[in-house]
Amino acid sequence: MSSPTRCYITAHSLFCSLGDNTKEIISQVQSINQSNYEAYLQHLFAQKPYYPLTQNFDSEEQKLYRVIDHVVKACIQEAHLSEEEQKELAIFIGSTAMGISLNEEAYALYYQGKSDQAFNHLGYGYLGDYLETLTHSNHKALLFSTACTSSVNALAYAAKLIASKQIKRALVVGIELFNKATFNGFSSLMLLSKSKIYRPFDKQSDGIILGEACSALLLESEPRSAEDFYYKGSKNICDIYSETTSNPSGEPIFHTMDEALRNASLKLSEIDFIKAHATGSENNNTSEANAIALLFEKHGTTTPITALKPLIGHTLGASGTNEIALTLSCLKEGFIPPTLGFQERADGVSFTPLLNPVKRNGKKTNVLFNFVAFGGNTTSLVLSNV
Amino acid sequence: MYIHQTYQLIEPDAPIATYKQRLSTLCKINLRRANKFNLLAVFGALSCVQNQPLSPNLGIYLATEHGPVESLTNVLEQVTKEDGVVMPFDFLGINTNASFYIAQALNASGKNMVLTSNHLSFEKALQLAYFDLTHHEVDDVLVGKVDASLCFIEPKHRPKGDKNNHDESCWLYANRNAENAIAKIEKIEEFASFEAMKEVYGEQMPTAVSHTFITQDAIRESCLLHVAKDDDGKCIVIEIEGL
Repeated sequence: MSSPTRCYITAHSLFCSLGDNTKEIISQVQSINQSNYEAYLQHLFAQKPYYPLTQNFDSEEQKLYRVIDHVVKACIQEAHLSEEEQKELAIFIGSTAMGISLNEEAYALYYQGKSDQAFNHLGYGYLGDYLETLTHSNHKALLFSTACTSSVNALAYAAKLIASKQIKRALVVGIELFNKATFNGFSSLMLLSKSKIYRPFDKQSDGIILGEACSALLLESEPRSAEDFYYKGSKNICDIYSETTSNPSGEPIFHTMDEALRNASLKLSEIDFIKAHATGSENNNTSEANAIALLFEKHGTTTPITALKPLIGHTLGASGTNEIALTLSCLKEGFIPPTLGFQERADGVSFTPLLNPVKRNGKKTNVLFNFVAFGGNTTSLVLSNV
Repeated sequence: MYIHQTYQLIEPDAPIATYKQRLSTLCKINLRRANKFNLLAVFGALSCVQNQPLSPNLGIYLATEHGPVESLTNVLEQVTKEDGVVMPFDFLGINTNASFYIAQALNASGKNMVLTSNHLSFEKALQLAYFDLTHHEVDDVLVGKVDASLCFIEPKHRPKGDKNNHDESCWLYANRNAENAIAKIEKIEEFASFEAMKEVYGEQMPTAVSHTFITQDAIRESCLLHVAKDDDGKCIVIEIEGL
């Protein structure tokens, strides 16, 4: 095997409730703070407690394809990829719901007698075909369905394949759009917040608030700017405690984070902050908090914690690329994003997350990203520009 | 990558009770509320590794073209009705949790992936598993393709005329140890077109070409090429040497 090379994230794009371009998203992030957060959410949740995209569309089908087109083209444009380079893109997609909103739309029309076709598609491979055609890729797209770790698992594999020179460049797309199945499904599991204020790790935390967003990350073996972050290491495991909850001891999540650090050849003291998964569910408030405490104890030090779901909602399988894209945008602007909504530690939480943006003043940064999924899939990933 | 075991279930559409009964002889985990897709997956995976010692760092890679279509249909029915209430187990059923059940049944806490790639799901999953094994991310791998029959959906409702009328759960177990192996995977290559593949393999075509799942009967050939392609001609070739 040839010696490994690095894998850089040379472009990224995000379309979420904060906006559809980096400038708009950063402006929003910088304008929301602990004082006006609740008012912001009241306005955002006028129709339902959900973080919606900033645009309306004529149909679910139009929405899906326009959103994908938008983030992919933004990424390609940012990197100024040539047509030849686009053909070299290996496509990786991560999502929980994939295109189920299209099937809901098709089924509703059929149920009303307005169509004689009950389904838009069976299986999600068609999304891969669409992206292959959009980019003229010579590669066969691969879709990951590992619930909330889908897109971060896709990213980890893409990065490792580039680092080991199996592929030259990759496009990793995370997509999660509103659909009744997911919204009503989480409701039936009684996991959604009733207070409609997102407060992970907080004493008043009462559950998840879902959101929709789509992101694309471009991965290459060479940086396009001195600020580009690169993949340093990751770990994926299966916590077999329960289908819907993590082991409350936090040990599987702790092992995942610890192994990710080991694979990245980093000590916790070298990590500038941890982006926690922080769903706001009772189980995660316990299990992930315990995991972080175990990590701090093992390494004999602490590091700042932040959580991004109060900004864009829980975007499930796409949360990997969405939250990484958002983090990278904030870091390029010179700050670590805060955890909005937090006021007082929940029982058993031994840390206070960042409450205000922290300026980096051009400092190079190591970040540990954490994601935890239904079905026990747990992934931690380290990015760096040091 | 050395293949030690394979298991193939490709049978006419059978009711969920059939697989519950068959699975009860293999494992004791609670699958009372599991859907047919999950039961198929667990049954096939466990059948493959019966009496096979497994490492603590086993990787599980489940490939599927269609996923749990029966649960999907149930959920679509539920959300289309006025109250839109979704039954919790149907919601969980559409979130492809089959690999979790396999991991739980095998007490395996290693890597765990559910993967799709139009017409090439199994081959891409195997490609990923091969990468993980050769790079020591895992110590052994269980790779499978699972799809339940689409018989319950009238052909006119199958958007691409999907013809799958069989229940499928086909698995292989492999590791880096040559001892007692039945075959070795020499290489997995991906091509942008069938023509590009023939340029490489055209003059070296070995004695047997397999277009279907790798089985122990097929692997007995001294050298086997497993070839799979999608509608656009993109293909994956797996070179296998029988041992």
